[in-house]
Amino acid sequence: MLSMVSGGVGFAPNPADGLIFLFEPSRPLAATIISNNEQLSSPPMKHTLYAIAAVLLFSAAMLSVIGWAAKQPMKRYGVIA
Amino acid sequence: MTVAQASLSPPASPPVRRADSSASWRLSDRIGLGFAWFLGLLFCAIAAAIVIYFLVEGIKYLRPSLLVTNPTASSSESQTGGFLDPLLGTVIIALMAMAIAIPSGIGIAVWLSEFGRPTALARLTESCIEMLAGTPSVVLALFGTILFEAPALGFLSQTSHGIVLGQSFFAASAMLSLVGLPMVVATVREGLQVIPSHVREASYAVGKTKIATTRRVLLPAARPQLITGSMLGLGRVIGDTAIVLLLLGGTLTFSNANSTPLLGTLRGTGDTLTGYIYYNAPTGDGNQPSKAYAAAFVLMLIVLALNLGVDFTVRRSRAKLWN
Repeated sequence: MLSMVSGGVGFAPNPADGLIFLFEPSRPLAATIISNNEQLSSPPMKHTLYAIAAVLLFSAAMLSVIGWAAKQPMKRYGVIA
Repeated sequence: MTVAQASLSPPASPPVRRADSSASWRLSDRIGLGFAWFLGLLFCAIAAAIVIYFLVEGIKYLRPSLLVTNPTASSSESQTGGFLDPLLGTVIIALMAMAIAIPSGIGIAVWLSEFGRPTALARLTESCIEMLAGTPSVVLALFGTILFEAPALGFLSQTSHGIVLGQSFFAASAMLSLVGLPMVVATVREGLQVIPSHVREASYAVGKTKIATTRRVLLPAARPQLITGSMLGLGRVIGDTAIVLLLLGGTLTFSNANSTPLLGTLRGTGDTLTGYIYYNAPTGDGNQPSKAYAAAFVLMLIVLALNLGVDFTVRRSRAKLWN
């Protein structure tokens, strides 16, 4: 979904380009997996895509841990979230 | 006034509480309130803009023929057919995924809320459910490709020359059920936790066991939350694209695995409305925006109908519960 609005182009926006950097197309990690899913049969591409998925999963896990840590102070007020 | 007179005189009236209006607040609080109002109105405007835009564009392009014809390959947009198979695919996927997610979600929520022993396992389960809720669906899709390409699960999808392709309605709905599961667990658990403890105690007092109490007292009382969670989960399931593209094949039309009427279809590949929209969007390979707008309009109508259905059912359940 994100690739539909972010351009879906395998290109790294360069902050050195100035403010136009904000308008440069990009392709997020999840969109990269979707764009290359037909090449999963190729071992190098397969390994790359699984590595990207691992980065995404690690990020999600860390966000989950941060969310858990943020909720801890509320426990002393009896809030169970 | 003497002390005796003072003790006999009527008590002084309590100080009149000033109206809790925002005018008496500190400036920073007032700025915060104004910002909250601005954000609330902004999100209302964004939601209204999306609905109105797709209503206008969808009505412009939606034709009854689109709902009853299948997509076909053609260089002319007028001859590429409609989206019957993606529409049916959406219904099949939604039913199958929720058939897995709802019973599993209720079971997990009841266990976490009412039993929760051993405590360490319950906490671990809670953390896993939270992590599942935050996991991008594309990661689940990739995991699904590993899982369903295993020869042991070959009976659930198509095989070609002994190679298991791992793409089928079974595979997609199994992974999509993981997308809907956290919503069901969270809302049912919340519904069970807000039931006062005296309701449970009253049930135990008349001799009901814990399981009977859960089945006959707590779950009926938590029915509104159960319906809400199911519908929210369903909304996430029918709106997902990544799992559909990777595990359902995104083939636009049904491609049966064999000639067996239902099983052949479920073991085969297909598509849903989200996959169809992705393909036909201006950035997609199909590049037929009018068809994408029409399909998006139908998808939005389904989601709106679900929301209205939830609202109506929850109100009715609450009224019945209080009566």
